[in-house]
Amino acid sequence: MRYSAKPSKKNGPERLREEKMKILIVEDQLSIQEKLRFVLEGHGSIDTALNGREAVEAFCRALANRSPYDLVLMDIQMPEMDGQTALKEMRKAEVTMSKANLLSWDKKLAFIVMVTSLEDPGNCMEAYFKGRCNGYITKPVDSRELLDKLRDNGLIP
Amino acid sequence: MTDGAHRKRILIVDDIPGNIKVLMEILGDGYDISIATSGSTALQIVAKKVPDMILLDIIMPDMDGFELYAKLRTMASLRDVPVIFITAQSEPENETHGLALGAVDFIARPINPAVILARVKTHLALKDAQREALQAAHAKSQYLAYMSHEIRSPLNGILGLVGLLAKRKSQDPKSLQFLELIEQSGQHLLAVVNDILDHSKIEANKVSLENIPFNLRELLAKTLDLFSLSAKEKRIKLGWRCTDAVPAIIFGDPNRLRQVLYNLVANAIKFTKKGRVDLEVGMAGCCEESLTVQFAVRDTGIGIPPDVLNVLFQPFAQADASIARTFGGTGLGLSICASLVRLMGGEIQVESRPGEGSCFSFTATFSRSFVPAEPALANLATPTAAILGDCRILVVDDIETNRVFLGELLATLGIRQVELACDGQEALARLHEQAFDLVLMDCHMPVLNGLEVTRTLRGQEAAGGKGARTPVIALTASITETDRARCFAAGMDDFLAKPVDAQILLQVLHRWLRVTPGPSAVEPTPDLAIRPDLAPESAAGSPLDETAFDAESRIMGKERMDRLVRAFFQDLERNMVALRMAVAAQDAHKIFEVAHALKGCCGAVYATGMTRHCEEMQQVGKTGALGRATPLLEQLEVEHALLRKTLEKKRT
Repeated sequence: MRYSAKPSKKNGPERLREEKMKILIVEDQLSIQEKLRFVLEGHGSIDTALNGREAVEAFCRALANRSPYDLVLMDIQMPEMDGQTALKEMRKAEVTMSKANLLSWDKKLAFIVMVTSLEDPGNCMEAYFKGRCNGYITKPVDSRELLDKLRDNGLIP
Repeated sequence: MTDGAHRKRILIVDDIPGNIKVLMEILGDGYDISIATSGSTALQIVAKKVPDMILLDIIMPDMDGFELYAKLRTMASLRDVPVIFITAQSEPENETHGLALGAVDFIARPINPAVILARVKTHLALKDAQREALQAAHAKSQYLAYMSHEIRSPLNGILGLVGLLAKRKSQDPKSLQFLELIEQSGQHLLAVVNDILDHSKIEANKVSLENIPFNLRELLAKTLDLFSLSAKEKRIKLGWRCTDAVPAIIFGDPNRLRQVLYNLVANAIKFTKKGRVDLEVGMAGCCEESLTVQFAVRDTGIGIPPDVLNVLFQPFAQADASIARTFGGTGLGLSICASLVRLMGGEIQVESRPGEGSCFSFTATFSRSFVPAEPALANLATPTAAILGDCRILVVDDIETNRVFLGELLATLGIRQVELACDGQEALARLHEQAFDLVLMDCHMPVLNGLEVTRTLRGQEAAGGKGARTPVIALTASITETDRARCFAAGMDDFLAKPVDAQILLQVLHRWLRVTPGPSAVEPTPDLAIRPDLAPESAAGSPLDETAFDAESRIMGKERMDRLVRAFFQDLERNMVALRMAVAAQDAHKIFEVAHALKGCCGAVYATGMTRHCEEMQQVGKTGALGRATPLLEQLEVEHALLRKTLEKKRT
């Protein structure tokens, strides 16, 4: 095991991981993708998607292949399908999978962090309180804040 | 100030040496004794050194004890010195007289040593205790004022930001409701803190009244206006009356007067369930120099019980829980009113009948003519300080903290007529209503920013055809070449870098206020108004925040930073293309989206100048003020080319 299971301090799931963490970064601006990639390097394997639609496709594919994403970082403002919609779709897919018992017992739901700009906290708070996402961070991304959040929730040591 | 630690000094005044000898035998060991055998000698001694206590024989030739006592009481330095009269037993009327005059005690002959020792000791101890108590109270007042100040500053910040948040259109109703509640709590807290601050300032006699001209009737109307909504909700009739005898313009402190009236009217409304609240103003007396005005706030409310009436104007009378429950508030409001009224040369009183209503009335004295400015202003070493007082300035800034700060700053510079506007719309309305000598305009405001307001104003001025031109000074956190050009193009006359420096502000005011008759075409010399040290990104004209960029390069490593910059170039091109198309298509929503995305990218490489302009473009998209889109886009084209060059250089 790469790291032992840790009970989370906040409301994150307990994680028992034997392989590398699967991370999905959903961001349409390449420079910001790069930044996020840099922050999360070494904590898992990183995939990227440029918009909500691509993200949902990748997410569902991973679910179907029995190797779902552990962590998703998703910008709210994106073309084609925005973050909020994508979030809804992802959670819907998870529910479907678990109902059909296609989700292994030890795999909990993905930890999804929304990335928002300071001007639009209302949107994020809504998503957060409705229990769909696990947290949010604001742009410009503070790497320490992000890592602290992940640490607090037992995703990284 | 003397402390109580020294050996106490007692002055004995008696014309009979034998008596003095007796007292010296009793008191000589414990105290330092001075002797005077006549009133005149006594006066000479106290003039040189103040004793801690005086023992005074009543029967003396030339000047008897009472006469001497009266003289002693006129000396300020002896005000707090206890005086004990020494009398013969057969003169009870002397004792009464002495005590009535203000002596603290008397001792009858023949003198009982134990008694006199005890009496002297007690009175000296009392004096010490009193001084300590006063010192403690003073220290507590100062501490309270300091803490209140510490609390007030961040609280203002919180309220300012809450106000901003509430203005943002993206808030959902629940959030808005929460924000409103937060704001109410914050305002209440601020009111409490302000009351405490005010109260302690007044106690410490640190409050002085202004002496400026104001329109009393206007003040009455405006003050009552504040209550029109709450009165309407309670279905209470609200009105004011002012007799014709009261002149239109009087000189005094309108803010403090308003404070008192506000407090009284607020209370009246609070404790009235139905009926009316009236503000009645009339003349109570006048002379050549000044006039006394009578104010009365009458209500048909629940009234005040007689036992409460007595303590109403004392601070913290509501320490009594039952009163607090009825009255609420900080317990300081009426006490502050009483102090302020006293400062204004009047007295406050209340009449009330439970179940019928109350009437709070007070008098205040005002001047008829202008009294010269406070000496503090002279320190500014500027001959036109008095003239500055006549000027009228409009401050436009969407952040309350900034507005308040500028208002205070202007006041210290001698500007008494300052109007505050919180956004471009309000600014335009005010400018339409009245003439201003100068406008301090924040550039970056939501909805309608400073440049747009200025452009509109210039347009109106030109249309008016009167040739009037109000100087507009830009307030901005960044003064780059491009910013300056834009401000000039919009019609602004000069700039001030934030945070605003008092000396520089004064210079700007002198340059632009018509302190000599007739308009003059003044050339702005922005070098004085600009503080390049405060605009780091314009230091070398670089579009990047070089320091931050270099720091990040070190953290990420050259290779990764390189990858980041290459990714950024791709984003830059892609977004600029999209932005050009969106502007051409006048698609506000798309403009918003692209500008927002571009802003994020620019932030990632610390391109601060461009980030700001993206923000402006974002606003354009959000508000639909598409007139700005093309000029802004031109701006961005220039900047993006420069940014590219700079970043390329960094890569090599």
